[in-house]
Amino acid sequence: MRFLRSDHVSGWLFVLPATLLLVAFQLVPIGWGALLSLQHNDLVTSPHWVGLANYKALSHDPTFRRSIHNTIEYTLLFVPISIILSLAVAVALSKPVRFISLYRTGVFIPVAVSTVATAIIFNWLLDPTYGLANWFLNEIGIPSQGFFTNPDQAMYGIVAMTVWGWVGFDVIIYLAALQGIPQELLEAAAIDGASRWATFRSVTLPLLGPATLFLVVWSTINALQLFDEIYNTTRGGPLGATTVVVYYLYQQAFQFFEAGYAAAIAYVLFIAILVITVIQFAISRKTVHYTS
Amino acid sequence: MRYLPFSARHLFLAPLALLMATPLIWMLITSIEKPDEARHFPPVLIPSGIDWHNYTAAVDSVPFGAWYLNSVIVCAVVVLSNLVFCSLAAYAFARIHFFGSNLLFIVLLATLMVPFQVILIPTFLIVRHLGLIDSLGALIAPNLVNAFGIFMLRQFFRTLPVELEEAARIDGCSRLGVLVKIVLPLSAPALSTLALIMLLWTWNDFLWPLVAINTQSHMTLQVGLSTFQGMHQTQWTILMAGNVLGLAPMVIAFILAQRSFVRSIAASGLKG
Amino acid sequence: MATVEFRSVTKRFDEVVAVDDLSLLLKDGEFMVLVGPSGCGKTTALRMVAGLEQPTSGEIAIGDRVVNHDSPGRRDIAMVFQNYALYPHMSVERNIGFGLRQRKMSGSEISARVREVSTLLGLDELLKRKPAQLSGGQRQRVAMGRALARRPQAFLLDEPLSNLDAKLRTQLRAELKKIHQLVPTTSLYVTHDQVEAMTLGHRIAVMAEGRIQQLGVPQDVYDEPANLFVAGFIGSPAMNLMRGTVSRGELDAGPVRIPSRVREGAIVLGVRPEHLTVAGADGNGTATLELSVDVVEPLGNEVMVHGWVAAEPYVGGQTGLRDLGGEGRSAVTARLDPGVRTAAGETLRLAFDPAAVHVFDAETGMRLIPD
Repeated sequence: MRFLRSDHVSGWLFVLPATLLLVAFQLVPIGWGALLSLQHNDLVTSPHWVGLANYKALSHDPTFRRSIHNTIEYTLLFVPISIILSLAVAVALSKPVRFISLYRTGVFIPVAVSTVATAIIFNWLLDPTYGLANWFLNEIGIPSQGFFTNPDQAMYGIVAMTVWGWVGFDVIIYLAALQGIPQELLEAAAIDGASRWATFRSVTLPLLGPATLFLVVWSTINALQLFDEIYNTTRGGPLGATTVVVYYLYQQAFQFFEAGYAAAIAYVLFIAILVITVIQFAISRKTVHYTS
Repeated sequence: MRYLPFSARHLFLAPLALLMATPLIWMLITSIEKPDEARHFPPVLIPSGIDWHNYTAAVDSVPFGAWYLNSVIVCAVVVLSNLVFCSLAAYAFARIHFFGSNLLFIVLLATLMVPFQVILIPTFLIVRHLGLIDSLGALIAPNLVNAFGIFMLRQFFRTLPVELEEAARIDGCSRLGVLVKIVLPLSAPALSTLALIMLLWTWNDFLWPLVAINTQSHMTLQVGLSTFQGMHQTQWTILMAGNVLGLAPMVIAFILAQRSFVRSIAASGLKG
Repeated sequence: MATVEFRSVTKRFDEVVAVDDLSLLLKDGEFMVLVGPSGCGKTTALRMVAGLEQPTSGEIAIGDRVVNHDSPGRRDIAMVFQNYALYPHMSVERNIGFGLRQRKMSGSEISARVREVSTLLGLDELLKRKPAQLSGGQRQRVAMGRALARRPQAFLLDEPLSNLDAKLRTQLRAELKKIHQLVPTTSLYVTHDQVEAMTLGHRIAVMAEGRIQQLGVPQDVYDEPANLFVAGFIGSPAMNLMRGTVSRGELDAGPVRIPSRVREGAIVLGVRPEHLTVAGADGNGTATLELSVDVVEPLGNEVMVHGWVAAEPYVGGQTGLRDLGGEGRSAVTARLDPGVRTAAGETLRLAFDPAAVHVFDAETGMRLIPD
């Protein structure tokens, strides 16, 4: 009887539902995914094992290589732009100016707009023939652009769209971090004779290190997994210019019914994300300082 | 609140806020225009009148009502089940010493590192095996528990003074009783944060519902909206009206509860 | 080094007057302590000198220069904060040198100054550490070092010892005094602790409700408090206060009856605990009162006896005063020699020198002087 009341039993009883569900819907699929990647599987007929053939094929696949290139291009644009912009906005929003609630609401609302809805809006905004963006460009003397219909510009349109959607999230994080900086430190710096820029550079920015690290890691992971926006705008085009890794994966699994191949892509992506994240954390050890 | 005197910040913030709002405003304007006003370049900035037909056409064309309902049901069930199951697990990890707890926690947390695409197809196969494909069950079952919730709540529970729980146990409360009567009432901020985050994620989820649901009337709002776009590709006015219907619920909820949403997002970032 | 002056400085926060027409001159090299309970305006006054708050009216001058419109960085002052305000991501060395780097001093000069200061404060071993790795006392020394390295015209110290435990506080208090002897910079020190005020200040300014209640050398303020507030605030344990009246040359306060040459009317009588002794058999030339003993605290070197006296209590209308007694009972504390034996419930006859009492106007609280 005492055993049944022991901590071990109650502990396990408490975690059992969550554990069973996570085993069923996370751990098992993770393992299964690995197995899938070693198969030729069309989701309908019975699969057969092909060893590492999928991975070998991936290394020769030009579309896959292109998708990696596109994904990296997107990430290298999205992450720095969204972080630097959101830092500037957060600093601007950190002091109470008139209309601040209006400004904040304007910056935050896009976070509540789903990726699908965002895509639909931007399809319209960037429409080559009737879009508002081209109207604006014409007004300032620039000819109409193709945006999503132009292979050289499509990715920039995606970047603009996702920055619009995500900036608010980053700003919220930075605002919270800015609030966490003790007022006294800024006062001490002022008394020490630091100009506003020097205070920002030497005191504020280093103390925002943890928030920046979080945003860099989080944004990178999300950028590498870009899908929704591509599916709802360019569908990987034009001419494969916006086919990113996850979109290619989706096509392989649910349009070409090459589930095994898709699973291999997924695992490559997984490893890449892991490696990149580890590198980012390693860099942060040298550069990010945590307050006690 | 004392405002600073006119500051250069306005020069930056005002155009920025305008830029952020423009897409939404333009969407609203287009949604009440006549179709030929939209098919006009340069665009008609101020429509001649309000044409509600776009909205009626959108609602007639696709079952928005069913989509709302599906999304609401899925969100409600997922949020509730996460609150319950994650609380139970998080409490155990935070306060109970049981065999294998450390290892189990690490394993469960590790699942957060794996991107969804890795388990996309296997989850599809599992759900198909369970006969749940094309039903709301397919959207609910895999999301009943999210390891993020366990992590977040565990962190929070550990900040509560353990003396309260010890006093309750001395007074005769069972472990479960302590959780329900002492810990959870004190955890309202963390629970509401978790609820809002899960709500946002689940409501906006796209890839999985896209894969798991085929029948239009079973779709959630996001997938439905996507097919809606496919159906009305260049009928901009109807498309925008439908989009307004699509994003209105969450945007309105956000505006009403802005403080709570902002606080939840901030909290999740600081924990991360 | 320079003088620091408040010229009729007032600071208002919406409806609240935090500092009320403050005029005060700190002489060059002086260590001035602003002491008072929380909310008395001392911190606000300090922050105005720092430039962290703007006076609503009046001028602040450092040296000969009116600094109202100078930013904190341009006033050539250094501040030690209650919570140290050390830059958590910088080492001790970089913390101390931060202000010097902002002033574009040369690298070698900076290291020389940092060295000098760290040696003075015993921080040489800690230069490479970060604040999180230091104890409270070490952090406070680093904060002082940062201020010292700047060699400013004036030091501002905002309750720097309040976050430390009692033992450290005593130790650092002595160190502060020593440092000021070595580096006599004009200093404005704010605290609510009257012991710090008495031990550190060349002069002290007792503040309450935004105004200076009394300004003077510590011993003078102790010996001749200007009003009831100062009388009750300075001195620990606090002065014993009883209501009474003066008429026809005689002061009558409960059991006390002594000759007095102050004006007639309602008064409050004050006697410091250390001026009470056990009445001897003779009793001439001294005044006496009967104490009903309540609590006896033997401290080793003295005995604190707390009890009641049959007098009307003075219940402080102003901040900082004790709330005492009830009808016809006034709480009294006496500081007696360790040999005294007494216990709760007993009656003790205490004596004091009538010349050593303080008499205050019952209405205004001001000190009354014999005509």
